[in-house]
Order: sequence, then structure tokens, then C-alpha cells
Amino acid sequence: MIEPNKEMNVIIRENFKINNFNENEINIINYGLSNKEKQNVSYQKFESDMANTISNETLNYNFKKKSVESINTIIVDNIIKKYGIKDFQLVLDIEGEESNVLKKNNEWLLKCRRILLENHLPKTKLHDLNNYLIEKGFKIISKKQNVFLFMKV
Amino acid sequence: MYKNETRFKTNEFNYFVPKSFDPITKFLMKFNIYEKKERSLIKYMSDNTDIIEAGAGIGLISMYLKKKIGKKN
Repeated sequence: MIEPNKEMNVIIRENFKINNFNENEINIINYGLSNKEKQNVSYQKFESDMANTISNETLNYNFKKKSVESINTIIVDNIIKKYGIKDFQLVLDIEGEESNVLKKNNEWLLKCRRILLENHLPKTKLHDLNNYLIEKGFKIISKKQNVFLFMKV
Repeated sequence: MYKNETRFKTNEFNYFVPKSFDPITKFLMKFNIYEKKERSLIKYMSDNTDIIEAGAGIGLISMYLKKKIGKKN
């Protein structure tokens, strides 16, 4: 799993432990997912711990900004190479960065079978991104408000 | 009040967040609304294909995904 906020490492491990998962099976990559690998990217933290983002997209949040930290970013292709992954499913809850990840530097879409996407973008951009994935050979098989499950046709 | 709570649960999992965690998210957790939309769609994912999850947060969805795919990564 990919989570740029290092404070979450302890919480994730504790939650897996509470529920009797094998701790050795947890693999946390402390990077932000993006379309380019960069160092020292601004990571905006909000009063809600779950809204932090590297994205410059206009998000529909009313949360107050708390602080800015620096993180490094990673791309899907390098995760696939590092772990020798062939076909995979992608789960994205990346607070506005989804458009960059899915639309740019995205040859890996050929290997992606399903995408569970929480789309945080404003309405027009949300539809644009969904339509882009449909053009790339996916179809929406289920949805709940702004959360979509895409499957490769 | 839920602001001081650190332990929450869904039908499948118990989970923990620090006392300092933000009250907005704790409110969602208290009433089992947190990540509920995502949770409801996981059943449509494949059991036998690896998953890359970005934006894992506290790991709640990660646990549902792990349960779904078992020994896969």
C-alpha cells in the first residue's frame, strides 16, 4: 500500500495487528503516487487527517489548511517493476491527484484490470476523467456517489 | 463524546486512531460512515489479482482488500 503520511505507518500496523493479520504481509510505501517521480514535493496537510494532498486541483473541501510538508512521489510503473507485478487492480484515494496518475505516463493501464476510484475532482473534471477511462477500455460496473469501480472490458 | 474515542469498528473490523486524530473523521468513524462507499464496492473486485492501493490512510480499506484477496499482495 502507498501512503505518504509516515504518521499513518504505526496506525496501519496496529490496525492489522488488532485484526489478526500477519504483520509481515504489510508493505507500506511512504511516497505519494503521481505521474512523475520527484523529491521534495509539497504535501498540504489539512485539519482533516484524511484530506492531505500533493494535488493543486481545486478541491471541494472546506477544511482549514494546517501545514505543508515535503514528500517524494512514485509512479505506478516503478511499483510494478519493483514487485514484479503483471496484472493488477488499482485502488485510488489520492485527493485530487487521480487525474495526473490516470491520464499521464499511463502505459501501465494495459496491465490494469480494475480501478476502484474515489474521484475528488469537481463535476466537469470528474466526468472527463471517467470518460477518459472509458475511452481506454474500461467500463463502470458499480458506483456510489463519487466512488467508481471500473473494469477492463 | 466521540472526540475522545480512539477505538472504532465496522461489521468486519475493529480499528484504532490516535486521540489527536481530527474530530471530523472520528465523527464518520463513530457512525460507521467512514469509507463506507469504498467498502461497499470492494465485493466487485477480483479475488485473485494483485492490488496496488494508493492513499491507504489508517489502513481500513487495506484490511478489506487484504481479506478479499487473501495471500495475494
